[in-house]
Amino acid sequence: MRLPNWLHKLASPPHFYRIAARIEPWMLWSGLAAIAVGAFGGLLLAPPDYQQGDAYRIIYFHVPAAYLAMQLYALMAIGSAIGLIWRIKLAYAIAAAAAPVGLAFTGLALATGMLWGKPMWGAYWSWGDARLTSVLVMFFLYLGYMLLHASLEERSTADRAAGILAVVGVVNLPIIKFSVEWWSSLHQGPTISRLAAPAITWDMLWPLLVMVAGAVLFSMAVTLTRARAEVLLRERGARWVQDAVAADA
Amino acid sequence: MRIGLAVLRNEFLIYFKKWVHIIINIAFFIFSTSLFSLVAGLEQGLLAEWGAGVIWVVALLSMLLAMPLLFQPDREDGTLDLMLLSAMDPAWLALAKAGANWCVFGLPLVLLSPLLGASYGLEGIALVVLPATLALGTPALILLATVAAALTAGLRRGVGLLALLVLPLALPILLFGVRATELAADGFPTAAPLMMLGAFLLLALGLLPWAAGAALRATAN
Repeated sequence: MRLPNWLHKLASPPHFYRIAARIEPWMLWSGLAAIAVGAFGGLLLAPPDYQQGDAYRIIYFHVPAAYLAMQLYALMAIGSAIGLIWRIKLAYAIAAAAAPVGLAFTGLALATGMLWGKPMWGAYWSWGDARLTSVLVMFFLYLGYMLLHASLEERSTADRAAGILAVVGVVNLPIIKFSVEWWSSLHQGPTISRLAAPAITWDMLWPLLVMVAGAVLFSMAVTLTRARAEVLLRERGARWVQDAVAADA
Repeated sequence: MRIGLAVLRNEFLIYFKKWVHIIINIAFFIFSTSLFSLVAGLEQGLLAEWGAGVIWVVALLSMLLAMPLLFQPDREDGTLDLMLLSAMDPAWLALAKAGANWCVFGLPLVLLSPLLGASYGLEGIALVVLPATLALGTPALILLATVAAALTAGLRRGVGLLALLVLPLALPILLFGVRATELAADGFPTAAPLMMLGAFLLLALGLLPWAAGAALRATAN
């Protein structure tokens, strides 16, 4: 299978560098604005929950973080797969750029989940729970990807080896997604039902959607910044890099 | 396929020359499981509750201990590069090596586990289920570790990183293996977790040799 032509053009590092530099500030500022609006709406405007009171409001941070933790893993794995199949170096650079961002969001999702778990389930952590365990596994997969990448000296070897790890780790994504439904038969104790018993009302829902959109834009901006730095580092011998750096200075 | 069998035979010959490693592995397994009961000083009831978990974790660790033997010597003397240059699919190479590795480092643990289980106070059907879970789970673990060993084959001190790469993905296998034995000890049916372990093994057999082969290619000099 061949890639479409426009993708090939975008995959050229100087082209990517220019385009990314142009869209990045828009993503960053609109993302931050959406996060501000969403946080205001979620923390102040939305009504308290009739069962969970105000404690449920951590959902406005927990859900976007958990969503992005998975999305960024998918981005990292897809980037690695594109690199392995079509040998596109830019895809590897994007995968390597996404990993630390994904790790950070996974850490945030775990931390907010634990803080929420304490008042709701009475415990920060429950080892028998498939959702918690599979997200922790994802945390270590991100870590393993970064450590493997860092310990292999030659960059092209590191890209391919860590890429294979990322692709193998994809099996974890559906496990995370469906863990809440699949494991009720095996694990006992409290089951997570995130949007509690009553269907969520619009008053509570819109800040959540705005928060998710803002977090997506923000994380894309950060990933693009990191990817641009990766590209500069990887292509540092090339003429266009010297021109681009000279233009920035 | 035929070359794969030749590799398998070759691996066995090499492992029997290195019989010391096999003994070390078995001794590590027996000794570490006993350490837990010695140090914890648990009374018999608690010991039975912990037995399956301890035996599973130590089995995993002792298999990881032997993993650097899988590709490291062949990489250092250049055999691996020659094998990769041959017409053989590296996936077959990985599968044959993993198979031989399981026979010498995994199978003894499966066979010994009822004995160790009994020493932990497990009884009845649990002493059948425990080796059954290990028989299904350890080959899948070896296949996972084969991928990690291939990824870290070029590294001098790669065991730590290898363990770090394997452990998160090994977690579900470990959980279901221990859960099945616990259910058996409490007199509940164990078909569901055993089938899950079987499914993991089939998935691992289908996908991981291929990934390990790609990893060998990727990290070849």
